Amino acid sequence: MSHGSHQQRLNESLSALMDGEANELEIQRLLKESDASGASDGELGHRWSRYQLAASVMRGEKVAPVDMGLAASISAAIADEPSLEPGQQASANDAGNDQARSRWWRPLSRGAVAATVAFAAILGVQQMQAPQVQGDLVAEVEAPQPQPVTTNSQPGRFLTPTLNTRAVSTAPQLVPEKRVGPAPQVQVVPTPELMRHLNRVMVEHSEQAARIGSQGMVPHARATYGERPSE
Amino acid sequence: MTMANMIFRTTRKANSSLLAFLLCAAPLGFAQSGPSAGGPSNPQSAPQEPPNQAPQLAPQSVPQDTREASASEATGVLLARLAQAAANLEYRGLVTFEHVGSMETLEVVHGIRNGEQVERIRYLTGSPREKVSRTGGDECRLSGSVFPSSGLLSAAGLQNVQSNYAFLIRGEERVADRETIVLEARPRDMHRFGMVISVDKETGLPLKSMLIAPAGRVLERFQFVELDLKPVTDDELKPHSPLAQPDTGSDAASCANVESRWRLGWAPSGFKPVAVQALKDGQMLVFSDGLSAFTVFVQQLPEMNYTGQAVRGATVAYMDHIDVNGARYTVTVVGEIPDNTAQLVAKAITEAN
Repeated sequence: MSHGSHQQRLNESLSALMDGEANELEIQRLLKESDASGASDGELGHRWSRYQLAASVMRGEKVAPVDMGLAASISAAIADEPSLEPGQQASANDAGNDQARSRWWRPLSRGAVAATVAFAAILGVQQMQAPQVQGDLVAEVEAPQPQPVTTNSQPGRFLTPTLNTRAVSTAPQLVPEKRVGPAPQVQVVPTPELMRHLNRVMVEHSEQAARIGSQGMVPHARATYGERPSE
Repeated sequence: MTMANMIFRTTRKANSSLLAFLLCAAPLGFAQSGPSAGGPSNPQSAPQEPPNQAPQLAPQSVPQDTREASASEATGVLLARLAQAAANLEYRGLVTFEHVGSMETLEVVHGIRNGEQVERIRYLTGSPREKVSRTGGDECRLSGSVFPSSGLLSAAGLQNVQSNYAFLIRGEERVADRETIVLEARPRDMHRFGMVISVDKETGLPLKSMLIAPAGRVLERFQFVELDLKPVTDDELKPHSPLAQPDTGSDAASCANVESRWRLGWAPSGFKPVAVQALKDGQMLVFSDGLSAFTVFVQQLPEMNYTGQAVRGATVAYMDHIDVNGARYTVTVVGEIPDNTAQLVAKAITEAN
């Protein structure tokens, strides 16, 4: 009985974590559970990977099957690894020493798990923000616009996109119509006329915005940003 | 929560969810070494105010509404200074300009000649681009416009701006070795983006400005690295590269007495027409809410049948067409506005009676 409701709470926490809405308590709960059951082969780990897979499919990303066995074998390999400073104090009072060591290691390994998760998250973000180049066209990998947030509930922090060092085309980029689900997106090959038109209207607009004068120099920077219209 | 529900919410925010997750997870993993102020030691407040908030915004403990109330006077003054500074100061500097994942550096020179602002902008990265432009001539402005010279200068303009955005003072920060006050303009509806502007305490010049999409996503950041306030020489305002584009307006024919042939059946609240210009192949209508702006182009462009949107940096363009008396017109709405709004505006254009 109590097991069922515990499991349900865990699932809720997990899906909150997927949405980035988990509070600290929920994250603690999840980490504790994954610690207890072994992160990779526990029910929780499987569920997490299923959620991620499902979300990837919904976003229309290419997915590769996740081999849970790999994580398990890595865990096993780590477990088999002899601990540091072997032999030195092994002979003297083994029992007490072992206990002390494991007490010392436990918080550290927990931190390591969290660090791994954070690292994975960073990688994930960078991948999502790097646009895929297809010739001159860049398909926006961006998720559909989040729902508008009402006036005063905007978050107090700003999410600055990670920079990417690759040279980016300054030509306007066509954005395929947004569709729900992984429906194939129709790529429109832009004609030179279309590109010229888009470039021209963007420059004209920026010059007009500069005249209004409420945004300082930024519109000038935007107006100059595009490549020179090829005559 | 059901699985379906979860998936739906996930896809909607896929981009931000991982980052948000990172923000939540990081302080946990490094609890021992993390900063203690407002940090993980207080689990109740942690989700709202993670300790690794954007560094330029000092965490504020003052409640929201008091901040807004006390800020409204101060922001009024600040906004007025902002507009004054751009119109009266001469300066040169180096600037970084970022948008979604890319950054460029540029050199800017701003001078005042015969009451006009002359601006030279040269990109120092990427393909060489340079442009000298003059602004301040009011020749194409609609008579009786809501924004006579600069939206923020007149009382009416200021009031309009404040009915569309809530202004908050977010603290102070140092930009280009100068002290600034950080001002946030928070949109009151979903049809415009927010802005965060760091205003130089001494001169009122905007030294940094960010365009903010919902959920705090930064679309664009313009930031001085170095600023020099010495008067600008004529030489500095001359283009430095032979490639420099001439001050355009080449497309725009004389804009005297242009009557708009078109009107918007719907426009997001607060956006008022500020200019109409004739183009060689159509007309261009400019709308502004005092801070953001969008431009509607209605042109006869044969063989231009694309319907959809294009982006460059923070600027979105939505293209569509309308048929009037058997003639096809291409409608393009361009601006730093949400794409949905651009689409709505494009669908709302009709011929004026």
